[in-house]
Amino acid sequence: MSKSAGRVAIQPLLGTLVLLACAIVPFSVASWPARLQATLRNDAPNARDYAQIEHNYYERILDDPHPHGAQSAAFNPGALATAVDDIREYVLKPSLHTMHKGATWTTNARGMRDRTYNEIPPANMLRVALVGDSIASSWGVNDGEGFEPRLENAWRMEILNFAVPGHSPGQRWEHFSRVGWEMRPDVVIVESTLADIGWDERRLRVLLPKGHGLDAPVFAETLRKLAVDPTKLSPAELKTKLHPLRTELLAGIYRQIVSDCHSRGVPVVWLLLPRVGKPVDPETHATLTNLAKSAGFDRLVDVSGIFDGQSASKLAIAPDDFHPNALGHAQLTVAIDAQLSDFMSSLTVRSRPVKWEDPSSPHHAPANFPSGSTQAGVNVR
Amino acid sequence: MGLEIARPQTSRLAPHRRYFPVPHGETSQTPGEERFSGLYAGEPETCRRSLRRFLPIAAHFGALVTAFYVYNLEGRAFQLLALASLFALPIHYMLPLAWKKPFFIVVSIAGLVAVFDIAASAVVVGVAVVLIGICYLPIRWHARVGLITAVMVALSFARVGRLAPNVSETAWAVLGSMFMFRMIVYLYELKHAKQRESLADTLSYFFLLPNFAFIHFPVVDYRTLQRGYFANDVHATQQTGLRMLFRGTVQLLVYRFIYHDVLIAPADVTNFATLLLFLVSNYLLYLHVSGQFHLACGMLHIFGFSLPETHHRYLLATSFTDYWRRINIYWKDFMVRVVFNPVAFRLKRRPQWVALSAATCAVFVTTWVLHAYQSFWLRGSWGFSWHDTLFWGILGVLVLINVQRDANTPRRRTLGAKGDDVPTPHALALRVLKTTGTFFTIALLWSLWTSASVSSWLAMIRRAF
Repeated sequence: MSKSAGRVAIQPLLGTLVLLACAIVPFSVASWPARLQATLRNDAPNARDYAQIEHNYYERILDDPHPHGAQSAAFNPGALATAVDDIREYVLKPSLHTMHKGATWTTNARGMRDRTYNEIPPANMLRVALVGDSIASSWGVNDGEGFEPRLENAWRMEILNFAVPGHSPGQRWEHFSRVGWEMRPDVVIVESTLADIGWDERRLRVLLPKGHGLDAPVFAETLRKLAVDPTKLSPAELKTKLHPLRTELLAGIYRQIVSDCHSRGVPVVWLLLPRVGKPVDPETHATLTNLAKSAGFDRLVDVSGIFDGQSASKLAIAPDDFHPNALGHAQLTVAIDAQLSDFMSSLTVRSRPVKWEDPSSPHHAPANFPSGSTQAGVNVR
Repeated sequence: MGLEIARPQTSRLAPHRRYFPVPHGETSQTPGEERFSGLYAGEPETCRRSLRRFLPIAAHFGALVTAFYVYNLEGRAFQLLALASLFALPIHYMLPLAWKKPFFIVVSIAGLVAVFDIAASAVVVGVAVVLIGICYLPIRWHARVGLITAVMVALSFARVGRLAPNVSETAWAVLGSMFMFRMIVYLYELKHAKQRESLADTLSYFFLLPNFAFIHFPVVDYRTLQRGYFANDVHATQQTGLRMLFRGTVQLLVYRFIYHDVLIAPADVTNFATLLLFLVSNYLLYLHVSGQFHLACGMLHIFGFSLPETHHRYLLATSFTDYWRRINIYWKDFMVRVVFNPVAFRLKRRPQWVALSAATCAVFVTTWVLHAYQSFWLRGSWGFSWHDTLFWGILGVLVLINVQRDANTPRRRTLGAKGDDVPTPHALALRVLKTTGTFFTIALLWSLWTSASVSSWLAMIRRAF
């Protein structure tokens, strides 16, 4: 055995301590060391990959039975989804019963990952519409294990799940506007996560060159600020123009949601969920919460911190996935129930309008439901 | 011979011969000795415990684990397993040698369950029991290989959802990572083994703790792993592991910097300068792989497994054979053992250039096919494509030319005085030129390999000129 065997390796030890110091030392926010520190601690995909992942992740997994197949292939609707030629890009296939990633996956005839509901709501039971993304659609867990069916069971209400995995906030609302109002919900819950800021900007970079998005009510107000025809811009120019509008886009969507709901007298709840293992960035959190506040949601429910301090491996569907597993959904159920049950129990079944006649133009409220007659039969906080 | 002709950059010994077997009965302690001197009865000297030497190692490892958390390195699975290793380390260190390997296996299986869910872990352990059980059947080697192949074919049908639709993607990926290559190595060893392999050795080979954090895992050689186990002083091995872990951490942080702040998209290549920037940054993304491999092997060192390094300054390769030897050394060793040497040996009566050419071609065709095979097990799709075929084809031809050239170039003797090794300015300039040429050729090939298609790659090149 050599004499040096087992001696403390000074260089890597010092190097490790330097690395630790570099990660911990607080630098002034705008300085280059602070930016470098942020880069080195950033385990998220870079901006380009993130844009692809948000879309391609679901495309790859939703579309073909061989997940993670051709990464750059164009959208190819398959097992779980079907393509549509509008800003939603795709919707869930109706009447599906299959296994996906080891979990049962069932959709009703309306393409909702949910049980079947009558179009006419029950007389003495509140009907809730849930609008959201993959977490709300119980991605990765069995039918019945998500927070939505659990809450439905606990609250003795109908909760109709209109969530579509991979949809941006604007796409989610567009989808609900097209298929949700005809089910005449008494209250709408809009699910959100910290990933929502910038999501629509990334989708619009793909949608606008295809001629989708400009006329969509959820985007129209903000896109008018571009003052140019986005279909004539190069991808780089479009990116440059859209990027500064990312927060404004979401603000516009939120305003549209609140306006649509209130014009029908339907209270609307904003629900902020956590993603397992993804730390909550205080700045993004504050921005998102302020947007929801200023949009005028009737109730803000923030459960984004409930997974803090818990082992992510126990709560996620897979080690490098942020979707909660059945245990995670159970915790979400308890947390949402704790914050929202008083509000929900204060609601009463209102006098419902006749069937919504024109779901593709939800902004023209029916005559018997004038704009401003909000919160009919509802005690809103 | 062949890929081994040029002057090796690392030890010339084959990996499985680099370490001596654990010497038995070298203990300096007699059974009747009352004061514990760091060794249990019958343990080799390499196992001697010393808190004075161990505590700094544990502290350094603790600092590294903290760094993993602070930098959020390589996801939760790795951080969890690193933390588990930190807690398991003192116990493993203090246990008698005979208990160390079983304990490592228990920790590994616990890590598997902690990282993945119970259902996925149960599938992995169940299939592992079947596969390993077949290896122990008292039947001829060929029959065992036939059975294993049959099971693997059945599993591959199950992998695409035809036989077992309820098994999660995760379970398949983990199973693939554990068995797709290591089973080949293990069966190869069984064929040549003079005695039955112990169950602890076998289980510790397949249930490698860091494997459950890194599904893309280096092809560890069975014999190297076993012969390296407590082959050196444990503290020296652990120090080597800490160096590997540190190097891996640095490489992963450099990778992050490149990935976030330097890398540009192929669509952003508009002139020669942006092409260069793309080529270099895109190639340097490989630091992610080499960083992960360093972390994986570093963690194994912590538990007494002395292994050779997985990568050796591959960015400084001076030729394509040199590059092939330096990048993913475990893969190169795997190919040399199971493909190159058998082919070259079969053709030993033919002219040397024929044997070398055939063996080199066989290596690259096998490498190409096995990369698709790996993609199938880890991602569920084979991933054959034109640009992938072109990449391996061109690299194979370049290495083939280099191999023939090296075979016909007399080797310079290196036993002279030390001063002979000091390069002349001319030799230094030539070396810089060779390194630069190799670097940019490989970077160009790498950009082809990672491109979406051959046409998009050609379009990018056209935009640059």
